[in-house]
Amino acid sequence: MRTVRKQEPPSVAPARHARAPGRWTGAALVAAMIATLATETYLIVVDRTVSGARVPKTDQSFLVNGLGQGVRISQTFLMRAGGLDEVRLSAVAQDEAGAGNLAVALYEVWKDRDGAERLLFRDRVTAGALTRYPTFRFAVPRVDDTADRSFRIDIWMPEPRPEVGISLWATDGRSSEDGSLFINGQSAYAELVFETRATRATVWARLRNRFGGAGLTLLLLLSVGAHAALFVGLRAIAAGGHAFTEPRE
Amino acid sequence: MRRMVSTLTAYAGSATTGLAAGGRSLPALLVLIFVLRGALAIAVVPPWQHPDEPQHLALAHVLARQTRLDLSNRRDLDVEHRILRSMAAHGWWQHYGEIEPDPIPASFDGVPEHISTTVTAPPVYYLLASAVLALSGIEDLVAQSYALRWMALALAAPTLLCLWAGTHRLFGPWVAGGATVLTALHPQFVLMSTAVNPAALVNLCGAVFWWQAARLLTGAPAAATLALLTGATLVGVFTKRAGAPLVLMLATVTIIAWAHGRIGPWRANWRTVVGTAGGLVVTGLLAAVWLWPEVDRLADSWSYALRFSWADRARDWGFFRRFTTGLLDSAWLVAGWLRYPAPSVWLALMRLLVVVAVGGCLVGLRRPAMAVWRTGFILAGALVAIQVAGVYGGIYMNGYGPQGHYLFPAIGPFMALVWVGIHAWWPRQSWAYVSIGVVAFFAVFDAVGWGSVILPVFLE
Repeated sequence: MRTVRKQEPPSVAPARHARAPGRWTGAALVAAMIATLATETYLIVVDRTVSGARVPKTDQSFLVNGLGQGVRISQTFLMRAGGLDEVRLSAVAQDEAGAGNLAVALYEVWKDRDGAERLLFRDRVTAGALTRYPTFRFAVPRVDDTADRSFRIDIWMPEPRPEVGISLWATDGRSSEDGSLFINGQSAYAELVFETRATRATVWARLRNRFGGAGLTLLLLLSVGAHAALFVGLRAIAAGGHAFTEPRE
Repeated sequence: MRRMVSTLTAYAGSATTGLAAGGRSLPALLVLIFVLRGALAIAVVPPWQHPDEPQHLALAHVLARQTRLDLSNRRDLDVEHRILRSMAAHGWWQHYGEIEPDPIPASFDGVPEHISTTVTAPPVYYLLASAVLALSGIEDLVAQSYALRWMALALAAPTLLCLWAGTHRLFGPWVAGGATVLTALHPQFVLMSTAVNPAALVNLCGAVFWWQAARLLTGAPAAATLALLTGATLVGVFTKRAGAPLVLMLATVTIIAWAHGRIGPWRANWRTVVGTAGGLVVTGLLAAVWLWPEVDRLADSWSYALRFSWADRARDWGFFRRFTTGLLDSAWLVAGWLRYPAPSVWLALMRLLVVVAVGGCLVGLRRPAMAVWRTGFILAGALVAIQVAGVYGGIYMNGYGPQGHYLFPAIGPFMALVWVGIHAWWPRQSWAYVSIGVVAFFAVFDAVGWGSVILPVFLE
């Protein structure tokens, strides 16, 4: 028997759906809220470490030797992000890497002031620590206001030991913005393989820092309230979507 | 005790059921969402980080300290210096990516590239703000700025209700709910609604205007509605330059009401007569005391906008493109003094959404199913067009930079059109899903705005 579906006029159709959304609408509603909450959670807890200036290792890369002979190797770079707190270098040991110490120093430089510079941080590392892993992480105390400023990292052996064969990877040409490799102060048409980083505190950590324990608890409670209100409001609006509501006469 | 618990449980149960039904409590729920977001913005955004907060607070502070109101006396260099010191203490120049001046300038004249004085600004907001400051008895400048931020939020909450009421009148509760929830989730709107800035008051004037215009077109008593429309226009004009288009809107609404609306009865009861007469007497007295000098100042304030001459910059197509994208982007989210934009992908999506909504409105005008909303389309379209034309006529033609919040006096009709325009592309059976998708999209955009812009940049 053929079923004849009766066409409902718009003003009649809503009544059936107006109070509660249908099953599929409910599922869409829950999916929307999950998507919203997932986005918010991700944005609040995600680690926001950003990468600054960077020169990759390529097939044009080569090793810069001479640290053991007292050569001072430097790399300048322009930082675009604020909060510089780490410079990564790529070093390799060719023989007695474990012996001897190296000095690593970070300077801020002002090219528009005849190359004036300011020492920000200096540390000593053993040759073994420098070459233990493919990437050496030179952590510095966070420098807040680093965006759009130029820096230079120097590495050298204060007490040279020619038997120590440590080399740093560099790449031919210019790869980073406004960066250059210097060997004993002489510019080279190359750059060290390096990467700068600025670690950002998560939004969650910032909120906890700003509001403290009790304040954060209150914030969470209010946030739950706001989300509940949004869910209920959206549910009501979605129910109205089935109902073709007409303007007030 | 048991009885109290059972009573509370029953009350909570009935309240939850009532909320879940969604009906009348929907506008209250949406205002709640908005107010909670506003409270977070007040707590998070450091002092002086909203557009032009220093000069607005300076004038409100000066007026609040006067023993006898004198609107011609608008500057106090000592207050300006203290504000500049406070700006430095709160890292204002750091946020702007500039080196802090040393020494701190003696007055706002020392930072002309950032701060202009308010010597010709329309007075209503400052009178209201100074009254709040005088009544509160707060002396500390930063505490005063927070008090005025709360005042702005108190003005913005009824803005949402007026937006709801106007849209409800023209488009029904479903569109009203949609337009209001989008506004409640609008990140730039919440930021401007918590700023020490006349914007919150002029936005309220725009929302009242939208509501009353909707009433005028749908059979409400004409005399009272026109009186409220005129009142909202006057307050808006004497609040901020962004309220100037209300004058043109007033004339346009009257014409639309005459041509398309169902104008209600002109009869007035004695309460209306007494109220109107009293209002006229008070207005007349106020006008006699200080309105005429203010009209002179208003002319100064509007002078650049009334030149109607094209700046050289405005003849450049590149400037037109930059102005238009800047206006759109900063209408969605560019926090601080146009310093921290939302991620570019999201701004591009919001531009696309506006284009889709505008196209949808044109589609909707031709759809028989939406014929019942035609008056709403015409009114909302006219109000948005006038506000946009006002921004281009007053700002663009003079070669100045855009700020999206200049569009917010027309946010009610704009959001109604966005909601209807997006749905107009879809068959009616899909509208429930489209609604959920649109609200979820705005909620995610809002989350991105807070999670990747506002909170990271303002919470160190």
